[in-house]
Amino acid sequence: MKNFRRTIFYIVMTAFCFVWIYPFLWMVSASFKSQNEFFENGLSLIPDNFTFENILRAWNEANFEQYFVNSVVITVGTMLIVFFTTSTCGYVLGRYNFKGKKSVYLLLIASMFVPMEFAIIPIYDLIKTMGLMNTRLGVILAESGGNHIIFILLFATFFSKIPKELEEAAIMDGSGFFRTFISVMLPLSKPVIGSVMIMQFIWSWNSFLLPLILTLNAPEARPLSVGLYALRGENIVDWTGIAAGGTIAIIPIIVIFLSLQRYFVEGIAGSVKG
Amino acid sequence: MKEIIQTKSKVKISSKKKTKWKTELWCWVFLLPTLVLFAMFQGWPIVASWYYATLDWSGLTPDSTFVGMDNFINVAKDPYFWNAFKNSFIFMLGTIPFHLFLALVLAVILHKPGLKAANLFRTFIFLPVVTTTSIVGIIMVFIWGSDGSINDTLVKIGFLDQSINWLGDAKWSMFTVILVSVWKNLGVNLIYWLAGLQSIPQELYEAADVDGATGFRKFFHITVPLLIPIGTIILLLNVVNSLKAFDLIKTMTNGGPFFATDVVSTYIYRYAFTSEMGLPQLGYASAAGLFFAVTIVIIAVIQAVVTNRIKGGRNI
Amino acid sequence: MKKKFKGIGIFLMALLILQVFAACSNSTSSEDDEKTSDSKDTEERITLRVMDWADSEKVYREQFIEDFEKRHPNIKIEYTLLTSDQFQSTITTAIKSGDAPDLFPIPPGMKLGTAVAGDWYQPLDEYLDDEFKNRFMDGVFVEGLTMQDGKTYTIPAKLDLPNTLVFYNKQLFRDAGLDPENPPKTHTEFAEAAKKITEASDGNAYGIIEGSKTIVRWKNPIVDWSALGGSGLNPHSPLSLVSNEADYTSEPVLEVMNLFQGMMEDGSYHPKTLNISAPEARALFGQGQAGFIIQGEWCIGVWQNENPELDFGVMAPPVPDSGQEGFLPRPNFQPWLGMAKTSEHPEAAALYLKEYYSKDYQSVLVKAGDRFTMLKDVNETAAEIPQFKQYYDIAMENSRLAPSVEIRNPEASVVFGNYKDPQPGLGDILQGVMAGALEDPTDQLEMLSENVNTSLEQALEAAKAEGAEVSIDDFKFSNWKPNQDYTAEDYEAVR
Repeated sequence: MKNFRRTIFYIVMTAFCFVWIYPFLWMVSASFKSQNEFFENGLSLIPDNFTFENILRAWNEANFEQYFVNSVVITVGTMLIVFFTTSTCGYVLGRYNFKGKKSVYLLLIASMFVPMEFAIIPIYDLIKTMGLMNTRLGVILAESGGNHIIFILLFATFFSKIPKELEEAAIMDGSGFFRTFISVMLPLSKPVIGSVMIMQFIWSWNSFLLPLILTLNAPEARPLSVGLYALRGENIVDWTGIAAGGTIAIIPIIVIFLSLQRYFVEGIAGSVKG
Repeated sequence: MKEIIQTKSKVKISSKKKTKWKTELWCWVFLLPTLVLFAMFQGWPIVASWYYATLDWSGLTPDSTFVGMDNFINVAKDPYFWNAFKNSFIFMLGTIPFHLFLALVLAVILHKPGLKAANLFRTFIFLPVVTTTSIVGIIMVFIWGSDGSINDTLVKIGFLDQSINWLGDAKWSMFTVILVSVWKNLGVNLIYWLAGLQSIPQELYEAADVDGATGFRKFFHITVPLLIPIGTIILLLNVVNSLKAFDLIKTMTNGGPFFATDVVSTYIYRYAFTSEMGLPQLGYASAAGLFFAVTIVIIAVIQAVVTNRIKGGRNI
Repeated sequence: MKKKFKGIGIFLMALLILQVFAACSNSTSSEDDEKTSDSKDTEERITLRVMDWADSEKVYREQFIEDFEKRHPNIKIEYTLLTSDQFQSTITTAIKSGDAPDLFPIPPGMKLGTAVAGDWYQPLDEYLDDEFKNRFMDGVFVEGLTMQDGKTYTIPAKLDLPNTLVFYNKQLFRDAGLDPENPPKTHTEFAEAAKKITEASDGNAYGIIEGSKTIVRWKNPIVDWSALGGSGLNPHSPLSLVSNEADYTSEPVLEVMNLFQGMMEDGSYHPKTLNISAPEARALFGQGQAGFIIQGEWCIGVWQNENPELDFGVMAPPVPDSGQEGFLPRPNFQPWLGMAKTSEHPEAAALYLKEYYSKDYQSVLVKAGDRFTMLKDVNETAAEIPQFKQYYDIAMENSRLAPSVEIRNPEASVVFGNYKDPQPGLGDILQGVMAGALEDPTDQLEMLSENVNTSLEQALEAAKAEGAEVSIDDFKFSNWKPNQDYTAEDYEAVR
């Protein structure tokens, strides 16, 4: 009976997942189709004639060898900064009471709602004044300055629930504020770190407008996403090229996802006990 | 051991003031990086866009005229702004239940330690998140078009007499955009819910098992209450993201047909960057964006005050 | 605990190492760059930056740039292709902070006067000789369009022809028993033909396809086709040339709307029409999925490359059943590429312009079916694709040069700079009708006419306040005749 139920569950889940990822599979298959077949064959997943042209074109267009390194630098740099700032901020907001805490919350949350479509001009000016135009550092900083309140809140709720004893034990061992945070608190927050890292990775990896504008004069500092965007023109759209670009750019994301997602299966209870 | 603690706490009390002061200092040190980055890349641009909002400015020319509140008044007077405003809320109300409940149910199912294929399923559900939006736009035309597979299936099983143009018909387009958006973003919420489930100590379930609690009971008595804090955050996140939704709507319907899916972000974009004759209106677009943001904050504050009252003034 | 701790530690370390490694490679590579650029400097190798959104030209342009760099090894071209939205969101900041590319075009909707007032461009006369100017057709270098105060600032991209001719699929014509050599001429014939094609192809193809999400693909046919019925609408002014007012409820406009609406009711439109944008519609037409599409000449090159099998013809837009009362409005040359005021390499930029606007390169574009050039004699000699030649002939035959407000009075650019495009526009309204969201467009069209009149009045007032000498009369062309080109003499006569 139990086996039967399990089988049914797997069948249903598999069917659901297939429908669910169908568009993704279609994108992957479209990267091996000719532009003509892209429209002709509609929903079919198997290309009539496999072609690697799209992948090659996307590869060259995106300047893959060069831009990939940029993408990694920018994304990793941003991830580190964001991880550092949001975890520290979330830690004190979640665990401590201090004057002005409410105002900080309010400020951060209210700013979430402001559409930042026009923020580009002041950010450009700022980076320019800092002399970081056309450098990857400029892009990293601007990206890290994006709105990460959600991460802060995730950390804050998480830290607020950690039992006081752990902290007190650490203090008893002579740990200061900073060391308690680094060596006791932070390691506990792995599930949150996992989701923060995954989400930040996706955002930075795909971020387009900011890097484009901040590297306007320095194509050599551009990330992959900017290169790939060149495939999407004003009047002429290279669909199969976009699909191929999407397929290439997705691989690192999936790798990151797979490697970080194990954080979601290890319980906090386990680490507390361990 | 006890003694040590006692002495320690005595020391603590004597130097309590100092420690408190010290702790507070540490708090601000920890906040500093966030606040600095915030001031530079959020605060300052927001101030700047307030300034733009008071200008009659195309965004392209150096000359701009200060017009005070005119832009805001014109925004408030434009029925199409309110149409977009309404659509933004419909879109929000349509997507959020899925992201809260469906994502939670999936998270609970996929969180089971015994489930071997959980890794795989999680990845699958996550894949739409990373699928290129412009490609999604096109495949959705194939899937949801009036000659597409959804119609085929529904007509075949007798659910529909006649095919519906899901994206092209003003009556259905919002519904369709909502469904596609749910599909695209469910994976993100799944991750957040999983992170939340992670923070529930396993011992609680073990204890419940000892008491002989059923799965349902455990879910409603342990999981749900403990997830409320993170649930609030996920709710907030979805409110913000759905009110700001842009890419998907832009590629799927471009706000059409005839403004049926025009949300505030597409409205703003239209004014900021396109114009058939004459120049775009960046000042007006900024005003529309801020007007929208301020309205939401006001709604949120009123809502918070009201809930507070109802709850009997309990602190949030 | 330790074990898991280690996990994170290793991960973070890995990230750090990656970062450091990447940063190292970063700094070394940038040092290398500097070194090489230093050494380049000693050889005087300069970088010329060009930015635009001419994506249909991309393949040919890349080849052009490669050849250019070979011919001039001391110049490196850095070409950035954006969409026009992206361009608009970057260019102001770039100009303001002195980062403007050496060569860049005027954004759509902006007039030269506004750009010059913003100190965007420098005059080209110093660098371009008479031989260069003589390559172009008459009407390219005209005060108000490309010139201001006697100085030349920009060069147009191409010869603009009406982009609302009809392409039709000859094979589908034959399948439906229609004569591909004798395409429909009137609204009724057109709608009939579309219906027949739909009926004959049994769901594999439809009468007509459009890209409904691209609003301008609704707007342009209404403007142009209604002009055939005598609406006086044109792309240069918000006012009708016939009534001298913003007039979107005239009979010819409604007739065209009814034509499209009727064809929608007939089921002649491809069911994907409402869900797609123009490039997708073009691709589906290329697949032989529709009998007609209303488009411009640039499609021919795309089909030539992507769908060599496609057997298609070009025809003039159908005229109202009651007969033709006017012609398609042919636009004047539009200002496009200019040289940044801050450009440090004007000589190199001029060289680029000279070679870009050379017969050799422009012939490549004409040959490829991408555009008609404004160089003299090239369109006639270089065009190879039969449909492309036909397009030229049909467009010229059925259109008349429309009068331009800013040629008549260059200061009118200030009016356009202040003009706020009322929404929903003509294209939005037609889209609403086609999607069934608007039963009767008359109210909307009346409102639009009103809004346009108000908007123009306000723009005029604002322009006057800024000191421009303009009046509503600049928008009224009393000596315009529907069946004649509006020429230099005509401008002279009303000035």
